[in-house]
Amino acid sequence: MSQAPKPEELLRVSHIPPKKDWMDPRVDLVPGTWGYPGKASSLETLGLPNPREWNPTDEDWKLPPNWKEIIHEGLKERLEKYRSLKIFLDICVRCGACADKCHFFIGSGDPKNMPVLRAELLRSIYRQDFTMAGKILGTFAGGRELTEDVIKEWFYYFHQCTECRRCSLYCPYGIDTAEVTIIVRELLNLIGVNIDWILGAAANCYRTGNHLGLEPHTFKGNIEYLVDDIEEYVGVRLNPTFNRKGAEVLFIAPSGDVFADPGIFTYMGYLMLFEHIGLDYTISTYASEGGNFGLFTSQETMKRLNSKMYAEAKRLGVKWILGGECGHMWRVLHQYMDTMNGPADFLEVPKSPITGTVFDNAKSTKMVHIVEFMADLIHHGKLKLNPSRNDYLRTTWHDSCNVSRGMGMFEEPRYVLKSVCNNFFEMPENTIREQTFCCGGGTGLNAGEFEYLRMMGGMPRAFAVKHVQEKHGVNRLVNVCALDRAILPPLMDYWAPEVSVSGLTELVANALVMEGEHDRLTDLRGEDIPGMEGDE
Amino acid sequence: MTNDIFELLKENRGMLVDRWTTLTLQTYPNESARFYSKEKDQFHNPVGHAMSKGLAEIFEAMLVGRDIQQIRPMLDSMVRIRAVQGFAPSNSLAFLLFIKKIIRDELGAEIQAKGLEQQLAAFEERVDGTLLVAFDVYSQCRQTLSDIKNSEFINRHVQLLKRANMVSEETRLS
Repeated sequence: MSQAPKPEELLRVSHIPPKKDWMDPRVDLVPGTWGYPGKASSLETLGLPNPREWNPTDEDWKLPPNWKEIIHEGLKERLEKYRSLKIFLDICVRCGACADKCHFFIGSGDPKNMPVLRAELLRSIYRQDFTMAGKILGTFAGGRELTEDVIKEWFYYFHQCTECRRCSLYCPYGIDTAEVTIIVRELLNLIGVNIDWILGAAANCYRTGNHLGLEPHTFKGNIEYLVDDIEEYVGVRLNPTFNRKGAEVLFIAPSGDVFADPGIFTYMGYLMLFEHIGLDYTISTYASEGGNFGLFTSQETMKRLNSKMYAEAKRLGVKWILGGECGHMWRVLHQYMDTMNGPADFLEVPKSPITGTVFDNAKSTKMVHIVEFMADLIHHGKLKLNPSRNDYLRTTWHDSCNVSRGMGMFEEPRYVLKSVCNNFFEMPENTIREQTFCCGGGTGLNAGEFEYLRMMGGMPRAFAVKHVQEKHGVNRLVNVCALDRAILPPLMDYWAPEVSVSGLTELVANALVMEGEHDRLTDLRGEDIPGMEGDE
Repeated sequence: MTNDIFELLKENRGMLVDRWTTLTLQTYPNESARFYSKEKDQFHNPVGHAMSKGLAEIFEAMLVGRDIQQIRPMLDSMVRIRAVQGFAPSNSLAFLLFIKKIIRDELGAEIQAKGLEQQLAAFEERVDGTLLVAFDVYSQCRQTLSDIKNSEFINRHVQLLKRANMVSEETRLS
């Protein structure tokens, strides 16, 4: 006999969810909120353990027989290696200051997305296995036993954190919950529990130098395709060089800017900017990726992927490295690169050949962010600009977590944007700068199958954009992160339709007055610039 | 004292909308319901803000009998959120019907004493009609998500296909 309720009974059921103890690790894998598992071939490429075909919806995740021991030893090793981790696990007093600061909690209403509770998923295991109180008192001391259900819970919830560090901003003890996520993902990788979107990109990057696995001729071909577009829309033929030894500067961008709309328009912007100032630069087809998905896999993978930048800089004999608009590329650079692969003593402290400015902030890593570089050029009046070409845009600025909260870059991009665009409107104060809201899809959560998770996680950001759209007529969301450029357009399509997304250098190049250019009737997207049509 | 259901509801508007909002936010787990009810900053709490504002607007709209075109954007702000939060479709929209039970629980005795059942039925028809509009909005939200997913897939590959001469702007548009 059918147990299904009758239609009228749908109204009588309680819509209040049953109370659930957070200590219960069992999770419902809600469609649209979890990622497909890493392919065996990707794990083999990277030399990571337990490559196999498996499915998170299956009961059996095919973990190695001694998985519990591996996790225990892995945690022990990391507690000894990273004092910060031990402190983060010991000192939390569960004051709850971080609880409501996570975009995933705000958007989904799932309590296990409160940063304090998400970290507690690891902390409870740590207490049980590594503290005296936990060993004796178990659950009474907040300890939990490590079971396969805990692993499944970790897989689910530590892939619902974008390591944006908004929560850590509010923690009175400075606990960096993002680092807890980093460690748990690393532990999960020890037993082969991971997602394809991250592992596939990391494996591609390891094999060919970029996330998509574009081989040198394709990578070069894609950029030449952009050069053709510039010739059509601007009227100037550029000749970027590849793998040229002896260039002054090696330029490295996130590969998303080479092949994905709207990043490609930002890449066109880079090329035009370098031509405009006569920079002696070259592009590597091997270090063809600024992003580093090793950050979401393991410290060792991150180090290996990062090392290619320095290896290429050495091989080509450049003086310093200029980096494009990217988010986590700069997190790796700012927080980890120097101790992983640096200091890069064979390079010179970056000095702008145009303005003579020495970038002391990069004297150890020898790598400068393009926005700092552009702000310096504009400050010294080295760019010929016509900002009125951007008058059809009413812009707002999204502070990408990694470059803003991660490395304190707040003013430079605003200075550049206001210099090239006459219409700029800030989003509400508590949603920008240090307090910026994540796009909802960083750290490898941009896979197609995370579609609902991203819509929930990106909701707070989107609502702030919607606010300035309604109040000021904002129609362009500008940022300096390749993942933002991929994630924000669909987010806007859902929450704030008619707001388009672009990188900063795209708008700089729209405004750049290039030597030998024809009448600029279109922007870099090939779309007519309103108001310029009649000038012909 | 009034003998008009709409006047009665208007007099009790504050209490009814409060109860409606509380009950709606209780469809989330305890800790989240507390946060959604407590935090007043609209940018820190978009869900709580949208629900409390939306329900107050909808209640007002049902009282004065606004048309579908006016009701739709009020529903949109709430339904758009519920459509991505992992609820079953019926669960996503059930909150709109809560108001019927709240009115009967809170004002049932008075309504009966005054013989206003007929008029209550008229108000409840407006609630049912609003639910149907919400169903349209919900369905459109899910369609938008599906369209976004499709176009993301196409955009991801269209550059490569174009370069291989396997697709043109014309075929893409068609």
